[in-house]
This record gives sequence, C-alpha cells and structure tokens, in this order.
Amino acid sequence: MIYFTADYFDGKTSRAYPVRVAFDGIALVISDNMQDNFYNAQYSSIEIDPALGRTKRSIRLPNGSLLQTNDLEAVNALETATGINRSWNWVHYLETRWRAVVVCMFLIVAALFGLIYYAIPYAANYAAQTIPLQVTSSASKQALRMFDQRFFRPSGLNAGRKQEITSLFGRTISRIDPAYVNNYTIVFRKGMSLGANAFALPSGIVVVTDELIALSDNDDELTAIFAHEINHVKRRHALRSILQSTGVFFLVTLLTGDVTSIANLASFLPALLIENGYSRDFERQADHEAGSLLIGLGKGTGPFQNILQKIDSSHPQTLKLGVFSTHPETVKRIEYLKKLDLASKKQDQSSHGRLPLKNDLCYNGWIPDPWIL
Amino acid sequence: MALVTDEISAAPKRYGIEFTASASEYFSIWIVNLFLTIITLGIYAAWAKVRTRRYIWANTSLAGHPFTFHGRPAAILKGNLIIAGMFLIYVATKKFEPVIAGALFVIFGFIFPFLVYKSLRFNAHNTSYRNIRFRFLGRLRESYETYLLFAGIIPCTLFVFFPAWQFYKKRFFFNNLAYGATQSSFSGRKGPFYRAYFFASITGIASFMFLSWAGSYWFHRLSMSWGATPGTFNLIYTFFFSSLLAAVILYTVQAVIYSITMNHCWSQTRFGNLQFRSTLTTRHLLFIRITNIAAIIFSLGLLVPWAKIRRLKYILENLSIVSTQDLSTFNGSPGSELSALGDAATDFIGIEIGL
Repeated sequence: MIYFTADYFDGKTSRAYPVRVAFDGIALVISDNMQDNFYNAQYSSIEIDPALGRTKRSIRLPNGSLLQTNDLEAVNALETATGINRSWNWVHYLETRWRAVVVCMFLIVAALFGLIYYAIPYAANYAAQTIPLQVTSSASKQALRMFDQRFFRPSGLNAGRKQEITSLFGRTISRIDPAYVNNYTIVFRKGMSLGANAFALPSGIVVVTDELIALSDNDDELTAIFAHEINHVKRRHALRSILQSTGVFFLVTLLTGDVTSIANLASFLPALLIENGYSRDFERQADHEAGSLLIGLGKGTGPFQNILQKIDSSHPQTLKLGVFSTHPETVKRIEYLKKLDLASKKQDQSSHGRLPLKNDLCYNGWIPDPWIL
Repeated sequence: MALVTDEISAAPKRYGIEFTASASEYFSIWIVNLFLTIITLGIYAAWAKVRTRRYIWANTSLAGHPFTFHGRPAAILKGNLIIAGMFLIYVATKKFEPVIAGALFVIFGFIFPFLVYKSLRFNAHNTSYRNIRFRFLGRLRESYETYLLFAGIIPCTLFVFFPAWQFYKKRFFFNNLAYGATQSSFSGRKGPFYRAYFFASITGIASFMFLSWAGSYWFHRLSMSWGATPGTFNLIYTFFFSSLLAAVILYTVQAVIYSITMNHCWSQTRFGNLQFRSTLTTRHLLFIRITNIAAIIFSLGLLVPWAKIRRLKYILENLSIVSTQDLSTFNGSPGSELSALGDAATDFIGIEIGL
C-alpha cells in the first residue's frame, strides 16, 4: 500500500479539496478528511506528469480531475509499482545527478566541436556538389551590378592587353577545371577605392581590376591569382559558405532557443567567429590549390608570394583582425606557400607536387573583402 | 443600478505571486535539454520546451497552488518542423532567387497573424490553475487586423502609429482571456503607451549622449596611455564599444517601455471581481538586464539559466492579485483541443506575447 495526501481539483471549480490517497496495487482510492471514499481510479487509466525538479507532482484522473501533491517519494513509489513513465524517468535521473549534468556539459562541447568542424562543412560540401552552378547566375550578375554601381569604373585596358589576359585566364581554367571551361568568364574593371583586387562570383565570373594587372610583373603572378579564384568557383566555396552559415544559424537557434531575448548579443559574436573561420579555411584551400598548380608547372610558389606581398603593401590600411578576419593574414599565407615549396622539393621530382590537403573540407565569404583577393 | 455584493467576499484580498524556481535546479534541466536537443539535431527541442515551461509554471504559485502547463511535445514538434521547413526554403532561395524568397516573405506575413492566434490559444488552453484551464477567446479576424492591417499602416504614418499598434497587440491579448468560465475585460488606453514611447525616446537620446561622451573620453584616455595605436586595437575597440553602447541604450529603452506598458496593462485587466497590480520599475528591470548580460558573457553562457530565473522572479513577484471573490470559487468551462503550430512559430521568431 502507498499512502499520501494531496489536493484534489475536480475541474469544475477552482476549489482545492485536501484528500488522502491510497494505492492498493490496482486502484487509487481517494478519500476526504472524513475518511469517506469518494472516488476510485484504476491505475491503468491515470496519467502522471513526469517528475521535474522538486516541483509538485500532478496525477490526472479519468474523470478530468487532478491530484497535486508534495509527497514526491510516494509518487515515485507509485510510478515504480505501476510502471507509469518508465520510459521518461531517465531524463529526470540525468537532471538530478550532478555527475550526469557535468558529463552532459562535456558532451555538449564535444558535440559542438564535431558539428562545427566536421558535420556542418561535410554536409554543406555534399549539398553544394549536388546543386547546379546555374542557380547562382542571377544572384552573381546582381552582385556584379552592385559592385559596378558602388565601386568600379570601366576598365582602361586596351583591347590587345585584354585579349592576352583572357587567353592566359583560359589556359589556367583548362588546367584546373577542364570539363567546365565554359562556366567561367573574366571581367575587367577599374578598381577605384578597392584598388588592386580580384574576386570570383559563384557562377564563375572572375573580376580583376586594372590596378592588379598593373601591379603584376609577369603572367605567372596573374596565373596564381586566377588559379586561386577559379578554385573558389570549382570547389563551390560560395554555395558552401551560405550552407554553412545556415548550419551555424540553426545551431545558434538550437542553443539559444531556450532564452529568447537575453542571449542575442552573446550569440552573435560566436556565430561571426565560426563563419569567419570557415572563410579562412576556404582561402587556405584556394591558396593550396593555386600553389600546387604553380609547383606543377615548375614555377614554384614564388610568383604567388610576390603578388600577395604586393597586393598587401598596396593596401596600407589593411587591418590585422586575426580571428575577426575572413582571410588569413598575408604573412601566414606566404609562409604556407613557402612550406608548400619546401615540401614539393623534398618529394620525389616525378610527383606532381600535389600535397594531400590537411583538411579537404575547408571553405568562403562570397562577397569578397574589399582588401585582398 | 443596485450594487449586489456578497457579504463574505466583499472585502478585497491581496495575493502575491510566488516564484520558487531555483537556478541550480533549472541549470541541470537546461543542460540536459541542450544536450538532448543537440544530439537529436533539434527534434528534442519540443520536449525540452515542454519541460522548461512545465518547470517554470510549476514553480509559479498563487495562494499556495502552482500553475500547470499541459502542452504536448508531439504537437510542438509538428509546429517546429513546419517552421524549420519554411525557414530552410527561405534561406535556400534568399541568395539565389530573391524573387521567390520575397514572395515567401509576403506569404509568411499573411500566415503570421494566424500563427499568433494559434499560439495564444495554445498557450492559454494549456495553462491551468487549480485544474481550471485558461482560454483565449480572441477572433482570427482581430488577429489579422492587429498583426497585418495595423502593422502594415505603421510606415504610412511615419511610425506615429507605432505605440498605438503596441496597444492593440496588448489589448488583443488581455481583452480576450478567460480563466475557466470567467472572461477578462481590459480597459487600457493608448495614452500610457504614447507616454512610454515618449519617455523611452527621451531616455534613449539622453543615454546616447551621455554614453558617447563618456566613451570618447575613456577612449581618449586609453589611447593616450597605450600610445596611439591606430589599426586593430582602434577598430576592435570601436566595434565593441559601439555594440555595447547600442545594447545599453536598447535595454534602457526596452526597460522604460516594458515597465510602463506592462504595469498599465495588468492594472487595467480584470477577471470579474479579480484585478491585478504590477509594480515593475524601469530602474530594476534595467539593472537586472545589464547584470544578466554581463554574467552570461563572462560565464561563457553558463549563467543563462540563472539570468532567466532572476528576471522572471522579479517580473512575477511584482505581480499581485486583488480579488473580492474567493479564489476557490471560479468555475471551469469545457475546452477544446488545439494544435501547437502557432506555439512553436512565435517562439521561433522570438516575438514576445503576454509576460
């Protein structure tokens, strides 16, 4: 027998009746203070709200009435005896044990790392490969129009020079993405306030500024830039970046869904840091591929390092934002290219100088930074 | 009209709301909820929400008896899935097919009043006190007037209509509630809303001027002592300082508006012979908000549950009930089954209704 006292609410009025409840193994026998039994309920017809903290337990009876009691132990015993909520009490078990809570905290951190570093980039890459590039064409044209209105002036290059560069661009594509040569177009503009710059729009439009062409000393330097941008397109970095931001947004919503208003400020910053981290990964991947191409051509990464250095010094206001930046610092990019060179020399000369990429799931900001590539 | 009063219930009695949630208990519920939500990629969010809400209501008591939340996770899950689906389609089309995304946005604008209506019904119906359920009796038509028509004409009135719109939203809520068979009535006015927004703008402008002055002064001092370092430090400092400034001003403005309008709304709401008193002050709300944010940031989010409980405790314990009717004499009313669609929707978008 399990006995406890409770408040009985009949659901017809807001009156609380203090009652005594006894469970005899089959039914809840409810009696008032005068010991008069006024209601019995078979245990198979009752519902008990699962335990939650040290809050009062609620038992719903088949006639629409409700029992509420502070006698948590008696209700626990009732649940054990009847098997009610057996599939739910493990949540309460976790919640009431500090060790379990601490383990959950560590598992949350581990799960977040797993999602941010592996699951989201992997899923985004998979999805991006299945989406045809054509879906990005109208948005790319619109972005170019926006840049034309806000920053660019028409290019001042003569037709002959444009021809030369276009054919250099064509040769670079045929080395990187020979199956989709027709996807790519090169566009010349005067950079004005953007200075020496180049960027790729997701549909395959690569924009180069006159200033960048003037800055380059030879075709190899331009090849390096083109290879970097073409790889952004080939690897679907823009699409992946959008998909990954969506993933991050979803994750942040999951984490803060509990607190609607308080955490907005606090959740914005981590999301920004994660997304910029993805962007730097994509830049590194494009650098890696461009560097490997130059090594494969027997030029080494020297031309790429030179042009990066020149672009960097042509933008004197460039800020070292570290984790807030969408691109790795130029010094680090050059350092990486040097390492690439060294590694290729150590390798057998007959190899192509193509190094296994540390993290092939790397990513990029599809509206490019006004500074550097 | 003859005044008929029951001798026994004639003397008004005051009941305070007691909020007994504990931050440490809620912390463990919150952690387990987060963990299960993440590993189930959001599916568990519906169960998490039910547990959270049950915990909050079960710890909110009036005259010794708690409120009870009855919402079913399966219903909330359905709503979550629909909202997540709509959101994903919107995101997927936004960058590449802005026309479709724009159309979706418009469609959503037309569905939104329906979701608000459903949400209010869901929340009210699934809340009970002493086994008597609340109900929301607002009409769908009024929801469309409030959330589509009135919201739509705000820009045409150069936002002069905005405080009135806030008033209509609150009236939609407070005027259409029922506790069992007892319906609410609301006698609020637009005046206090206009006053609240007027005070808020004055406070906002004043705090903007004061904080910018203080900020530039300290920035000057800092840059003098560190040697002038333009570049990174300058930019990051400016970024942080301006977001901090914006946040403090925003919180000040919100605290002013919240305290004035909520106090007014509660004081003008009655359920028969039962009335409310809300005694929130701007100063306390702002203090709690700012210290909460600071605590959350410095604890890397671990104090989120503590902050939430603290704010709720302040708001709820400043609400009291004055009634000439005995609290145990309210009658119930047969209710109807409802879907959770709206409930999830409003939570996802983050609009705040009611409390």
